[in-house]
Amino acid sequence: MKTLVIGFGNTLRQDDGFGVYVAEALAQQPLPPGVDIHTCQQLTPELAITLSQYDRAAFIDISAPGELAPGSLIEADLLPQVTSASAVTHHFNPATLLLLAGTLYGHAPQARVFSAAAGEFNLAEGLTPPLQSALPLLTACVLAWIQPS
Amino acid sequence: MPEKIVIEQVTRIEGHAKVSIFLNDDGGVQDAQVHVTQVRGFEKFVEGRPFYEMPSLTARTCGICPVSHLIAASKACDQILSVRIPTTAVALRRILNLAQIIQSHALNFFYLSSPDLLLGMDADPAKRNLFGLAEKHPQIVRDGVRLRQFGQQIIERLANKRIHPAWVIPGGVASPLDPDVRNQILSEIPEVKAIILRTLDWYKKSLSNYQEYVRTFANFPSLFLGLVTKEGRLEHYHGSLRVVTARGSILTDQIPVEDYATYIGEAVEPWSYLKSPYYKPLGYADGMYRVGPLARLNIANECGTPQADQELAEFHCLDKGAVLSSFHYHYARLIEILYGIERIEQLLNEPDILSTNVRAHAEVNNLEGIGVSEAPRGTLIHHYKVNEDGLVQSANLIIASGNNNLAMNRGVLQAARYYVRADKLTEGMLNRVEAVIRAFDPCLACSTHALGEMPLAIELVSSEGKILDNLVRG
Repeated sequence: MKTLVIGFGNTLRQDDGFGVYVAEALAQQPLPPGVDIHTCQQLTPELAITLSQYDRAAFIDISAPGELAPGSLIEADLLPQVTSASAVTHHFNPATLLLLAGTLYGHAPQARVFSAAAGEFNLAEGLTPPLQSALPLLTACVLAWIQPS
Repeated sequence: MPEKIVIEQVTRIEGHAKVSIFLNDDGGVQDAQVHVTQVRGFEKFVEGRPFYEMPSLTARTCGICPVSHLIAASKACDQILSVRIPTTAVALRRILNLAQIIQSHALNFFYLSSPDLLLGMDADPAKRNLFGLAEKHPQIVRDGVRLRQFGQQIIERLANKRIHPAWVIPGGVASPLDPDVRNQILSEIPEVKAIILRTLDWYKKSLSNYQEYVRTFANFPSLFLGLVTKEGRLEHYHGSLRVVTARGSILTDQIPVEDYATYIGEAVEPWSYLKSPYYKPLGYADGMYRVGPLARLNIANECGTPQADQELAEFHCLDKGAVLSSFHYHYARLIEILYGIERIEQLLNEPDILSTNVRAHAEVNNLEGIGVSEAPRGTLIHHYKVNEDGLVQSANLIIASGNNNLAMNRGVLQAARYYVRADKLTEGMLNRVEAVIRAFDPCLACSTHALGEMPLAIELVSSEGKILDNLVRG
């Protein structure tokens, strides 16, 4: 089974880089065979080609602060669908990317999103304290998910 | 106690671009203005920074074409160092620049413009996007995705990052080309060449379907400006400036890029933050010129690669003089993609391309530097003055998209006069105005993530100044 882990976000916007940091932490761990780690600033249509070549995909993201306390962990299965009104290059989210992979290349992997509620998106590097605490917890969640069942 | 000052661009809530259409007493269109409502301020905040930071700092101007700024900035810094960089470094910078042009043109043509071309200007806006296109024309989308991936991967393979790489530096590039990377790129050339050739074939056969847009999308006489080689060939990295008239004759040729300020003036209009460059000898605004792929093909005698030269010869037959319709920016982009693929292949086969001598080292030897290159959207000029410590005293950036500002405004006026018939705006009309702007592929579209629904507001203003109608999207 081939598994792709995509950590995405902007490391120059504080907690927005959370997905990248988690992916980098995962890359330091012993991983099962067939697991690849990919980091990027944003999801672009070209990733659909890559995605279509995997059985499973984990998207590691950050969520806009809402009612959840910063650092709260969020997990959910993903289905291919257009969830953004404007299907534009910079606005691709995991679900639309999965849809594109399925539509264009005939296969979308089983996918799950791993995220955390953000604290701040200021112009700064590094995570806020709640997300620093969340980083090893979410890394463990993804690590557990990518183990062969 | 220091105060925190917050400056808010409130107008950005209506999108990064706004169009005003002014009506005369008879209800006809009198004038139109494209307002760019974002302030960047790069020229100001780089003052005091060390010159060697300029490539990385100015690359942040854009997330779509950072490579263009890296190259123009590094060339300006080369002049400050007073070095002639190694020939292999020049070739590698050229490859990076062409890869940037390929991915950017693919983004505009396949992702942003093809939904209009293939689904129709009046198609349901909810479907007039990449997903609607993928349902009806999946092969076109696959081709676009692959071409963009090809360009992006070259950037990543050479410079280690797709966005904001720091590989191009004053004096050359940071590291030589890996032989495996060279072989990998060369192995992909036949596939991407086949893609662009079949796209060109399809597009040329479809051109008769778009004659209305050819006539009405910024189709008027203007000058055309860009870089050419000594022989007058297509040039994206070095060379000198050439200006061609609407009749296709050369007005000025082989202008050293260091003399740009003698020929290019920058006017400021109160209704836009985007400056309006013009050709100084003809004055403002008679000196309106166009840059970018359409201009580059209009000013070039030839491309210098075999298949692109065949396509250029056909392209030059579209008009008796220069090709005047901005709708043909699309066609020009496809030819430039073909040229880019062929030229990258040539460069990768140069005997010294794997040389490890890719950087010249020096201190500040010159207090001024001017770097010019061709970005996807047109001629890009970086001009810095530094002190003896190498700290930037002033910077002037003439951005590719800005060069087209006058022509883009004229184009929107032309389209508005053709399509606006009453005091009521329709979505189809809005989309046609968008499509005129999109043909120029301005960076404001990229920076506002435009596709099908550019964040754009259009106002219809009566002769008394009353706003009759208003449409906002994005």
